[in-house]
Amino acid sequence: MNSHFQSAVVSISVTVVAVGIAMAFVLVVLAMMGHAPTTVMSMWLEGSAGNGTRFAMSLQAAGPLLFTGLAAAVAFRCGVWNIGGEGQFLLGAMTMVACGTVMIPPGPAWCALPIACLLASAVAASWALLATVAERWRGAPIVLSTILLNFIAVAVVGMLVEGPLHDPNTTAPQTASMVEHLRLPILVDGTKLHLGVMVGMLAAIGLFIIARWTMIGFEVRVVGLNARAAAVVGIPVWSRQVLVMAVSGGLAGLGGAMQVSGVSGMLSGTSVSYGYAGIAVAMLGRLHPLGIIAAALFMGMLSTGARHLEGRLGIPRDMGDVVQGVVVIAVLVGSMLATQRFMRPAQEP
Amino acid sequence: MRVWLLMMGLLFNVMALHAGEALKIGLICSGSVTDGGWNQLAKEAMEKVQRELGAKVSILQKVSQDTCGDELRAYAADGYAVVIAHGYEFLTAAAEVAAKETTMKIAVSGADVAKPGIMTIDFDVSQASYQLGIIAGRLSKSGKLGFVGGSPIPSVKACYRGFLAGARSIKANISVVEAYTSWDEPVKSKQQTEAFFAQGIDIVYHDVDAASRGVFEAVKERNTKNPTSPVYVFGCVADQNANPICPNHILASAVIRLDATFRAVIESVRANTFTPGVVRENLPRGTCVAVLNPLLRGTILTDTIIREVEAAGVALANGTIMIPNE
Repeated sequence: MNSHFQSAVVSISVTVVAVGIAMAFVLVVLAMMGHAPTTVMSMWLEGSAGNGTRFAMSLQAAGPLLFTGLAAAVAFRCGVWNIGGEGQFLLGAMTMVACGTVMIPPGPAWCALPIACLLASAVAASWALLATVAERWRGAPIVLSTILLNFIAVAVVGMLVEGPLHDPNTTAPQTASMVEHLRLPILVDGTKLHLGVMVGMLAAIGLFIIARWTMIGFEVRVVGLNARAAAVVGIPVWSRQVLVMAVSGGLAGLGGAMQVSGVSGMLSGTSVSYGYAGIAVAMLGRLHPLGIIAAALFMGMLSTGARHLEGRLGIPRDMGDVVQGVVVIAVLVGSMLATQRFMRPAQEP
Repeated sequence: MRVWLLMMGLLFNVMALHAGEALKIGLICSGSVTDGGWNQLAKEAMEKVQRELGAKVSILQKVSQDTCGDELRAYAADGYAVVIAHGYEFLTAAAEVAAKETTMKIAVSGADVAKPGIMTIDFDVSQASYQLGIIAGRLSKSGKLGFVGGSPIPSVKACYRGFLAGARSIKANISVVEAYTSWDEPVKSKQQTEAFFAQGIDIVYHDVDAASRGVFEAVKERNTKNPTSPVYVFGCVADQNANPICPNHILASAVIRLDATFRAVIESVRANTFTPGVVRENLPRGTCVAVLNPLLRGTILTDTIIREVEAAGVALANGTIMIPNE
């Protein structure tokens, strides 16, 4: 059997089994609490994809996860453990809000909106690169520095939200609303499914093409598999890691920008954990750009379905987070077992 | 006979209409509905309204400012008649949804700014806090009081101002030290309350919602260590007088009668008289009141103090006493 095909089959099987295990686990817990599994499942499906509006809401919820999932996957593929998606997402969102309130780019929407998005990505990418610089010059592990940079980013955004960007018309900790021409077009009435979600999907397809059919994509994968071997064959490891970190941060920042421009139109300064959830999405999507589209959609459906379950059956939406956590654990354990069982390298004669 | 039949027919029609069309009501809370304060009060009020009016109630908890708009749109898509977004931080999202939503009614509780298409409900607890201040002024031996709030937002500052004014109406030189910690971190409110006691403060008033547990624990521990000179505390938002942590040391609570407010909102929707604008709930309307701890009536809360508190209530209601704005 073709090794690519075998690998894909094993990956998809592991993911499907992991999702099944997680769902079964939560259904058993809920059954013990007195909720019939069939009722829960039908209510979840009704809430997440019961009609066009509901499905559009799930797609909307998938939007930010798609960006942060891609951000995490791009970095992880290259062996760069960027856990800073949360801070980069928030800084991107903050930059977009700043563009939409106090430093509005000149020109019409078709010109100003891309400028604001690019600026948001650039700020988030620069933030991410701080971790790479700290690793290069002082040996600070990227895992640690990106986590710590998240805390700083949350504090910085909180300070700006309650300071220079604060809405003078309210005492609530929030920024003013963005100008209309920097808001993304809405695709489905009655929801906030915006153009940014489609941009995220195009980004995923673009990343898939780059990873699969370009030299730079190949080099990034080699660096991720074995940096020392990559250096030996002449691949510039450091520059590839820097590039990947910038792309990863930029994607997370773009996700934040799209979210505020498309959905809320303002920023409250409270962290909504899209960055951390993006890691779960990347894991569930097996670090594959197309897998991440499916994983983000599943997580989006999980979120809107959990919201519906809470409203209808009084089941805390935290159960959605439990599913997310169990899925990640199940995927990690499953892929480890699958690697040992199916992907073992051929024995030397 | 015909008239009777007609009347019976009409009655059955009305009953069938009400039985078939239970009003769908949504409640959006910013925190946990087991916080012992603001959100739990809303949940309990909504459940009471559900029992009394036979409405269909859906409650969402831990909703953030950023996702409130999504929740409101989901409720609108599901055909809800009215949604109460319980917290002033939801005002912007509610106003944005209300601008496009024509069927579903939206009320935002805890806000005092008028926005097109929505009803905002302002709760003025400063007058009830004034009454608590009178009790504190009478009972404090050190002449030092403490106030701990979740954050210095206008509604919390109003509680502080009312409390200070009430205490100073009894003792002009009494001091109230104010501090702001967190809404949902009992550890911080406990540390702050312990710091108050270390400064010689002997009565504390709080408005910290879920973090009130920390305040009560600090009071309990302090009184266990030093029972001869007890310290006291006041509850806020919900009637916390019977809180199991230190029921004998909670003098009174400034209570919001949220069920009456919610009931009025929902009945206005049912009667098709829902009117956007600001609704002000306060002491004269009987929705923001001081409730004394029945366990302490006749002992620490003497008849003289109770009479003073009641007299202040009348004066506050008729405008003889005004709470200063700053």
